[in-house]
Amino acid sequence: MTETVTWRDLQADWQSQGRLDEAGQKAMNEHLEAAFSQKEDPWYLRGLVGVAAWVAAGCFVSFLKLVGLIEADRGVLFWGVLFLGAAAGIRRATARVFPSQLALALGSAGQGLAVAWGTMTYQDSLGVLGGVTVFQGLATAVMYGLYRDTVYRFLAPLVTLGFAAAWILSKPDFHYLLHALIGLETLGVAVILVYGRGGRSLGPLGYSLAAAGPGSILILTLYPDVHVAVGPSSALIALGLVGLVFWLAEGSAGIRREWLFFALGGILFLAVFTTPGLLFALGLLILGYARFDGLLTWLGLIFLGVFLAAYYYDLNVVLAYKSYVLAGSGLVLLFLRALVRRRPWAGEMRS
Amino acid sequence: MASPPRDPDVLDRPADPARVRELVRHGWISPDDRDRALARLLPARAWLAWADRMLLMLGAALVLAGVIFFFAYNWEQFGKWMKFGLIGSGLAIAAGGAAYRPETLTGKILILSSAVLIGPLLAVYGQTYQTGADAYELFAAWALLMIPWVLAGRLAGLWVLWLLIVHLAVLFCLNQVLEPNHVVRFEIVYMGLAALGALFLGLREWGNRQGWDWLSGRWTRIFLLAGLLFFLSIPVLIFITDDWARTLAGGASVVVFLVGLGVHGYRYRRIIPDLFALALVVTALVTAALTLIGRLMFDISENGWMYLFFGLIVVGAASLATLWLRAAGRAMAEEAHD
Repeated sequence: MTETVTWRDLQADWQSQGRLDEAGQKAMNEHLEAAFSQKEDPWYLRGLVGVAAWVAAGCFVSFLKLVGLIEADRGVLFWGVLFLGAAAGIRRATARVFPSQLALALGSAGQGLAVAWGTMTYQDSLGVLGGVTVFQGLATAVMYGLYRDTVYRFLAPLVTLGFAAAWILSKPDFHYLLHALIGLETLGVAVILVYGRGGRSLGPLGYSLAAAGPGSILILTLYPDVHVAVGPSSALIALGLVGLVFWLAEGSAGIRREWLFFALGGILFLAVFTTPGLLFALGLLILGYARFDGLLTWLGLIFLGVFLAAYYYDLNVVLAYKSYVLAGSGLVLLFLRALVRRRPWAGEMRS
Repeated sequence: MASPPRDPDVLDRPADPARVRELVRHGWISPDDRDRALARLLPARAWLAWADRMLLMLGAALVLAGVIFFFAYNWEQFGKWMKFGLIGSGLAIAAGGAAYRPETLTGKILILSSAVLIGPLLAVYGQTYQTGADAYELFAAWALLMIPWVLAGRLAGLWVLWLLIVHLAVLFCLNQVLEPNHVVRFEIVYMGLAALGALFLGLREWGNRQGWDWLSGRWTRIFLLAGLLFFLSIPVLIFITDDWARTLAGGASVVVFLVGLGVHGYRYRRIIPDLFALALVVTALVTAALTLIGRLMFDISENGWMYLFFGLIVVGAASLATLWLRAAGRAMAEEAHD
């Protein structure tokens, strides 16, 4: 479909236009070499390591408990901080495999212990979930900078966001805060993954937010005890999508404005008539394609399926009308496809 | 001219939009240069094709779901010929449309849809004529009738769907007939399913070598291998953890497991180098080994120190697996270069 364009091709383009001088090319080559030489293990290997670390972390905590080194809240904070410090220290001192993986396990155990201490100590004022959320968040904030591990930097914020959602869920008078959480997740994805702020170090956090967003939206839209209008979240995510579309349009020369109207009209339609989950999933799909990012694309596809199924399941109409709505929606999309294919600018794009 | 990079392969890597944007932030290219580069990486026609595909797949899925819900709602009111006629004509129209334009995305979706409709047609037949067929017989018949679609469709997704239906048929048979009547132990059935998976995986690899490009997607290999390893591993893990599972069949499952790991480890290291596939094999081995070690250790004692040692062993096993896989990955990359 599209040709594979290499860095050599791009540099040749820029040089032929006189837009890249020798100094710039040298600096660019060094930057690319440095970027590609940071060979991270493939995601499946990092996932395997992450699972092993959690199992080991559970064993370490069980050891402390069974030998009496932690008892109720005695010793919990001490060992938690010790493990976290050891994890950060080992990770900075060496990149060898066994110490790095031991550090990941110690870090996971330490974070768990620190969170447990905070929860036990402040449960009267914050409640259990509140304590877990606050201390998990604090530990993550501290360790994110100190402990440079992609798996940790993805999982720890994700767990924090999960606990935050659970905390909000436990307080019926504050369910509207789910909109703030979803807004934060959407904004985070925009800032980190769309605009690239924070560089590569914040990348895992961006993916955490991208994975947590649909979870929060699922709670907002499907949890039976949550009775909050979805409008604000739909509006926030729709704004984010509009921003995404404009961001993409700036970078694509030759796109006619008419397609922008199609896109914006589609976003408005989805924001009014469907759920924020569909909008978020669509955003992930678009962003995944724009970034050549398989992970975001798969997240988008999976959650698109989940939210579509949830949306139609939840429609408060009899099965017969649901079938008309489903088939009708499908026909609208197919009609839209046929309409787009017949537009003059679509023909120009294909040529 | 600037000196080339030390690693000459760097510039031959595919460019990606995120890194192009980074170059602007460093000031090496202007925003206009960025825009032109992005237009080359993701031209407008690529977005159009993407939107076209998404609208088609989503639209088709929603229409199909709507049709299914419609029939589900009105089912009791339809006479038997109406039921047969509706599903049969849907199947025929989809198959005809697929035959008309088989290589297009529309054609592929139509052939998938027509293959899916075979199942409801059989269900209606069973319901109408009260054949008393068990669920496994329905799935078995569905799988059998789907074979021409699979061979003609040349579509990886259709092939995988067919495999899922075959597996469901076997699992339902185990659940409904074999286990209640103690005809065969579950270990034998799981090994049978693993053998089936191995057969199809072998077929997939053979087809790929013959140039069946519709099977070339790596996900089919990973999907089949993951399923095969799952069916190989379950009886072994039960053999290790449950004393009642210490039977001849259980012992045989351990032997088959080790042979299976050996064969697929060798295949994906030496014959068809694939690090992801190798990682799956290693994961299965490590999981079984750690389960065995844990069982032995905690049978001796369950005091706290055993947990500490086991935790260190888990980290050690994951480290060894990582080191071995990294070395294998490097070796495979060098061999590919040569």
